[in-house]
Amino acid sequence: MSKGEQSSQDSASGLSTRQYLLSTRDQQHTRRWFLQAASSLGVASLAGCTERRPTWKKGGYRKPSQSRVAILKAANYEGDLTDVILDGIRTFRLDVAGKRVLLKPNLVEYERDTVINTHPAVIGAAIEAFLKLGAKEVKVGEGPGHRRDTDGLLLASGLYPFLKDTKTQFVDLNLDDIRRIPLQSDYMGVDSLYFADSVLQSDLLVSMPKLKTHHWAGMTLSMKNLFGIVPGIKYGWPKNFLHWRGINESIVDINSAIRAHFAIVDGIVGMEGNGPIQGTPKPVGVLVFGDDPVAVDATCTRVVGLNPEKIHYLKQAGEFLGNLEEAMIQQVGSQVSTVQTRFHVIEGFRHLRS
Amino acid sequence: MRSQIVNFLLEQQNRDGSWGFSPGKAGATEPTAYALMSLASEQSAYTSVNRGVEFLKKSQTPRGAWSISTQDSEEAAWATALAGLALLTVDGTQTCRSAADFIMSSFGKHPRPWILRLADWMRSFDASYVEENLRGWKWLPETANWVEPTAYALLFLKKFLRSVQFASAPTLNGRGGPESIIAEGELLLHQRVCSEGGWNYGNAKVLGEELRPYPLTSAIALIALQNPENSDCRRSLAYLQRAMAGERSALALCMAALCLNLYDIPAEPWMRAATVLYEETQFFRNIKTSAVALLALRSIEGQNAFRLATNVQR
Repeated sequence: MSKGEQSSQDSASGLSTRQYLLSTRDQQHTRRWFLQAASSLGVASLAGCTERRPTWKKGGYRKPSQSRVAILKAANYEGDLTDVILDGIRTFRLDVAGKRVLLKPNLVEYERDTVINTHPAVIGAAIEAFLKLGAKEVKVGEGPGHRRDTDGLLLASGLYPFLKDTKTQFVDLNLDDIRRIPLQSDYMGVDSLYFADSVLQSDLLVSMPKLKTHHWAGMTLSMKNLFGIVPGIKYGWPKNFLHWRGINESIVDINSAIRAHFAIVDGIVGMEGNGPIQGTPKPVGVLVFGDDPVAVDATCTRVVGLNPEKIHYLKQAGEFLGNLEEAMIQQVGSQVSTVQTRFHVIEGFRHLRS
Repeated sequence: MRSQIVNFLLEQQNRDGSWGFSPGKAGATEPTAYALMSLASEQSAYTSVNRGVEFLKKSQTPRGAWSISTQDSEEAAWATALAGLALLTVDGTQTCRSAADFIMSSFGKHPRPWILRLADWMRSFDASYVEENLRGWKWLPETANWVEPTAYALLFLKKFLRSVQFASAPTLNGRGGPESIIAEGELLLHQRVCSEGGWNYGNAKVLGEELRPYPLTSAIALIALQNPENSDCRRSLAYLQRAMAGERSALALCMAALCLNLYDIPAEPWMRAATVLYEETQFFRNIKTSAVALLALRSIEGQNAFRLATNVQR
């Protein structure tokens, strides 16, 4: 991929470089810069007035006493993934029969020779698995962050044949009916957000991210994947509103309002380095399952050799949405140590290694 | 494909006269606007178009704006531009003056912390200073200016100005008249052209990295500019034609066909590619894509709804 072809949802902002950094990148860094600048002008007290401690509502607390995460091996995309996914779902005794299931993969951008999206074979296998388990209906839904021509993405990514073969409906969540939902936490500084109605109509929301590094958030996994349920028709392309409010803060607030009931992470081939678009493919050979998105994402972060407690949004979510600590997560299938594959990270995220 | 699309659009109109993005969905301004423009000169669509026009007129806010859909009440400049374009195309200018006022009042810079505004002001004394924060239009207030909303707003304002004697156009306090607003909006688009031509949805470069252009946003920006003599436009047209080879999005292909037609470049090959996709996917029953395809087919027949000289066609 040439430099001129490089792109990402977040870095392709319409903000100037400096402003983008100030608005999204690292909230602590931003605040530090702002305070230094304000202090040099003798107005630190004014800047200090802007600090606000985020909170969550009582009803937003859903941290279980103990979580389980399953790491199941899958060497490549050519094998029988349906059986692996069936094993993963059955491990959690997920009640699927009669349910309306919405699979939410990560479908961002198509570039040949790289691995930006959840592999269509994994999505196809998940469709088959949920149907076998008696789901009333299975839909696939995604609201890509920066492309409005989702039709081309479905075809170019190779997902369309899987949808056609299984007669599965795809919902462009960017263009879906919308509904305003109150948030259960207050990290972004807003009290509600619009969400795609198909998500709210489903009985079982399954987040199916790709195992990738993320050059603003550290890692993008099942929680960050829910950016795609926030409708572009309301918030634009990219979902600029979320960036202005802070990526980490948005991830926590979205996940406090809408719960992914289950997560299936495509870690057969992940992406290291300058993800989520411009990174390098990295085979790991696993699918990771769980019904606590925080625990799933924390485990995936450990699998790639990083410390989840240093990822800002995971640390915040670990306070009330799910379990972050290793001792609170029972590993099923492979242990983290047996599949651990250290991912290269960009300079700004080296601290995540410790 | 043409008659199938016309029938599809007629069948999918909601009871209130609107269209959603796909069958059964709530009425939204964007697909309604595109459907109206595409059906404007179809004999069989006369009643349907009237119902659509009535829907738009009823859903216009007292300030002349439209929201994105019947499920949201917040006024949106980009949706207003599209509704205005549709009404200009099928119903004349009467309801569009207040829409133009609203769009001009929505023209603005990125919101910035006061400390950065202070830094901007201090830098402005430097002779080499280049304004990075030009005014334009946003998807929603309090966010950044983007290529697509800016392009829609520009196209509407330019079409509106050509439709009326705008001698009495309001000069909004501190914002300038419509001509100066259009000039600055166009400057924003020119400033954001990618190095190989064409437009990303945002900047051409971020954090020192050049960003790639996209066919769809490039086509929309070129439609708004409609300036074949301009070097940015010529470079972007060359990019767009290169990018069309192998394009798998019917929406991008049809929008590019509409755009190329405006610049007198044959668009038939791209509509043939879109037709193949239609046979394969029926455009995923997307109402906007279907309407854009119909607009593109009509443009090849000599009626391009986005041509600045073209307006009422009924």
